[in-house]
Amino acid sequence: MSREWVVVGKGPSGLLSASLLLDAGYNVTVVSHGQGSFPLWSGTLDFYSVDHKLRPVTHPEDHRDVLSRYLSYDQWLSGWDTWRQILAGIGVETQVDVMAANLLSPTATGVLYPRYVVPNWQYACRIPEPVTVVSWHGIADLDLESWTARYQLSSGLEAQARYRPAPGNWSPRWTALHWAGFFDTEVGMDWLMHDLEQALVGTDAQNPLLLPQVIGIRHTEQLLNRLSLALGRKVKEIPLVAPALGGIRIQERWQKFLVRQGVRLLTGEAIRISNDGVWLTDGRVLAGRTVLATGGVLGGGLRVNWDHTVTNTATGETILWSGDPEDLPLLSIARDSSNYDVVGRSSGRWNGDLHGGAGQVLGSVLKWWHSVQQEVSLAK
Amino acid sequence: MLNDDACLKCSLCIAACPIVRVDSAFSGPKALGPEWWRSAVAADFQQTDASVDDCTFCQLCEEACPAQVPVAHLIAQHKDRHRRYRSKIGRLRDFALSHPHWIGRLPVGPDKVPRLFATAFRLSRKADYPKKNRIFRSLHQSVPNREIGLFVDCFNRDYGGETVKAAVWILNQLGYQVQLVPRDAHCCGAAAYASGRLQDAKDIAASTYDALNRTPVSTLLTLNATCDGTIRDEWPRYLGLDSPTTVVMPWTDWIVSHAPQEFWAQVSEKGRQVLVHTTCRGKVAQGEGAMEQLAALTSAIPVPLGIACCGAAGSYAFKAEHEDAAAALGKSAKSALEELCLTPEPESMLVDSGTCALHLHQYTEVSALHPALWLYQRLNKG
Repeated sequence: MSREWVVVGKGPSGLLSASLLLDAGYNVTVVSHGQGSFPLWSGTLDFYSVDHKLRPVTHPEDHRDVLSRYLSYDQWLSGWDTWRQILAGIGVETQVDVMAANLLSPTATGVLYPRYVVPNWQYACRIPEPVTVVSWHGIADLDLESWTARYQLSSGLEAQARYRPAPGNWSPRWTALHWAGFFDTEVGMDWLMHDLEQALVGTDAQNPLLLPQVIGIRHTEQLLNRLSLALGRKVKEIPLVAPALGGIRIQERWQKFLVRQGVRLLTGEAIRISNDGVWLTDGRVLAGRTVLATGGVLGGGLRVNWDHTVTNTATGETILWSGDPEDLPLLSIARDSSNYDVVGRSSGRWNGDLHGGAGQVLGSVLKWWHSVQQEVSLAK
Repeated sequence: MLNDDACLKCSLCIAACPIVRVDSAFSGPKALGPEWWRSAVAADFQQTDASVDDCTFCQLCEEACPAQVPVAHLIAQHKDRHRRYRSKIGRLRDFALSHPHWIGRLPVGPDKVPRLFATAFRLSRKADYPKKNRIFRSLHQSVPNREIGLFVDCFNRDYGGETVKAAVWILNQLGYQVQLVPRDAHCCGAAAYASGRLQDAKDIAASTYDALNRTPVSTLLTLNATCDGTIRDEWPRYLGLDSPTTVVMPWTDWIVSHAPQEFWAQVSEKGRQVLVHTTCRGKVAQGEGAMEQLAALTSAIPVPLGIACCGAAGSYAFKAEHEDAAAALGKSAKSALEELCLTPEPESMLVDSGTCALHLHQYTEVSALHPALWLYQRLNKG
């Protein structure tokens, strides 16, 4: 089999496929036209979070019947292990439940939600506990009043909240990236430390301290450690909406890692894809076996077009959907085209938004990867 | 254009922007590009946002967009409309910097500009400026039927003579006759576009296009990632010019794909670590990996620096109002280098742009140079 592989797309499925190929000794080129969906994610990996009636799932294993449509449960477990190792390799340490249950981690609106793998910077627990939350005026994505109300409702426990004034250089245009960039500077970190010391007066030191997910871009773990040591309590982040720092951090570290390992990370728009390679609009031809990982910004293999239609990125077909969750468009998760391999898309009744986006990514990537390995062993 | 109004408000452009992270007053690509455009067109809103001038025009936002909104080019329109709010001196300076090929004709290099003069003309007092280093004209060697065009950009013509000489020499070694084009000093228009002078950009690009047509070549190799992307991608898309030749590609990519094994056998940098910085415009135009491949072909170990934009961005770092942002990005290059913990410290850094090389050298103190010059030096030791 060809030693050259071309991965189209640099979202979670693209980079995961590239890492698997790289580890197996293939030469990998990643080509993309667009950012990929990482900055739309907080960085948690959801396996199977809610069931078909939208009830929270504690043990994904209880849903073996659904999960085994894609992979055996053992394949799932070893797949998650592989993904966590890949993340650790790029410098993102994660937390999981030792019994392979879902952890609980609060959303941007304060609801404790089941999450399977959670990066270390984000708060997650096995059993709900009282928390202290500090945020600042100007972080519009985190409304502390409703956040604490919802947290109390979903956990039955108290959330102490402290709403603080924004720093002097704040402007209404600030996004999460502006905040994070500010905290990455010495001036910003000093301001943060000083502000938190004041904010925490009268709060319970036993509680973990939760901050909005804006604590730096490049050095988050070090910053959180510094805060934790200085303030004498656990300090973690709460995810916010896009642009989400968690996903941005993971993508930057992952891309940097791949480029350092010799992966070409190209920019270009594919006009023709076959199993021998990819043709780009600017005339470049990338030779190699191809895997299409263009889930699109919606995820699941869909692209939103400028004329408001939605297209299946693998087949080019226009997707029509009734809006009924029971009637999701059917996209098969791998090999739905005879010309090239396809990963990172929804399949059947798996709704990535509800059941788990990362589960969808992992399921489709592993299914493809197992078939590639099978081919290799057959060829031998 | 078709996609001007296609913004989904997903914020991926903000995630890709290097300036948002270092400049707390910068409104960011979504607000300055598609959001401004919508209000400007739909409501004929004449107001502009002064922070638009702090955009480097790196185009990483545009590359990030899943809906193919020309984010950076909408920001350039915004800059253009903001022009009348700039001071007279500022406008004069921008006009001059938009014509880098004129500045190159001055008898002295920008490094000789007295600092006092810099302040008066709103030029940065922190930035390193390029030294005069003109190209030599006597490089032509005739090898029939194997002719290739080398685009001599405004920077390399006047300050990168050694780089051009190296690039030509290597092509000659490979048996190609090199035609330096265009004949006289021209600019692709990128500098004017980045400054928000759209009409100037069109005029400058059109004149370069005409000049290129006077000396037609089938393959045009570039030595600067910005010119490369501008000529191949932006001329047809935004400046109304069709492609001047069938193939426009970076010199590095061409060498990597065309030079035979025997050529690479002449140089061995075995075990030596070489830093690589693909400029932001290089990432947008072609992506990362070609300079790494070139280094690997010499058996060196390429080490990508791992930053998005160094802060030079053509003439961006030369403007007084960008001193802080350019320095912040330059310092982040330095800290990225420190985080790599390389021993021994690498001697060189491969960079696909002259101004970026200058800026990176200023902040990292590593000799930053074009891969052509690096390779030439390795092939001509002693």
